[in-house]
Amino acid sequence: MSKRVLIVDDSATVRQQVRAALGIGEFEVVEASDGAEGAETINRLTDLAAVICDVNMPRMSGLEMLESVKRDPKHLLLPIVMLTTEGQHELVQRAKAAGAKGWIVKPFKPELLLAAIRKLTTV
Amino acid sequence: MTARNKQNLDRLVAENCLKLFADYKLDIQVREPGNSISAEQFLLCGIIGFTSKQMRGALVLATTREPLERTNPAANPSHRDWICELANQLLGRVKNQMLCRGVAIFASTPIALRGEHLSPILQQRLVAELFTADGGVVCVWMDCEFDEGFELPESGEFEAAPVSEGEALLF
Repeated sequence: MSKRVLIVDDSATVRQQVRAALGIGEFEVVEASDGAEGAETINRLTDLAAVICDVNMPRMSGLEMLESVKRDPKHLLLPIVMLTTEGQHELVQRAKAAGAKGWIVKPFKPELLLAAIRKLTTV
Repeated sequence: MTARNKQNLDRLVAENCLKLFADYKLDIQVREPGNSISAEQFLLCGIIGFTSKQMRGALVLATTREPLERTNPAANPSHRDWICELANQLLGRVKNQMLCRGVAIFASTPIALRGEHLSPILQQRLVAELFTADGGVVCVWMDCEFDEGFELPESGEFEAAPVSEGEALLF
């Protein structure tokens, strides 16, 4: 059975890129276009294996979404990886402190994203 | 904007624009000075505003159809979405270089504009670079102002970003 991965990004092109990178069969990709929709999707879908999340988005940023989601104990073990153009040390540290499992800077290499998600979703 | 700041920022934006398009497998070259720009041929431009303690403004990336289509990795491409993402990724690269120079930039979300005569005001002292790609033109300019007395360092003196473009850091 394929594992379900959520991609949260306001760019439809990036969401398509992630969908293509995670391949067909191994992962089922679901999408959200900002942090607010991402948080709502995480709370609604109980079987997510991982979340890939942009930082700079309208309505709610990726870091705000991460912090909001991780405040709920039932999401403590859900792996969340940030996929962003940002490289600021403070933002990386903030994500790590909030419970993110990784930080990838765009443009991403598909094989690297796939390897990271495989590693984080392997029990 | 001082001439030195303009020169430093100009170089930074141009270098990062070349790298960005190279990452999407499109070789672009700086256009020879004096070549006029056919602004009416631009399909779209992506604009992303930014602010920092020392400077503020917007980065504008305009392209003709070909560079957009040749770099878009999506199966069902949206030109509007892609020009926004390219502008976002270009500013991201510039931001990471500016961090090494002690300038922390905060960006807004990008927007796309379509118009009949999109072009930089070249007679003003804006940072603008034109590039040619196979069958197309890419143009980037930064419309920005610096605080009085601020000098943008030529090279980075501060700690580099912990993750570079295309790299991953797992915690």
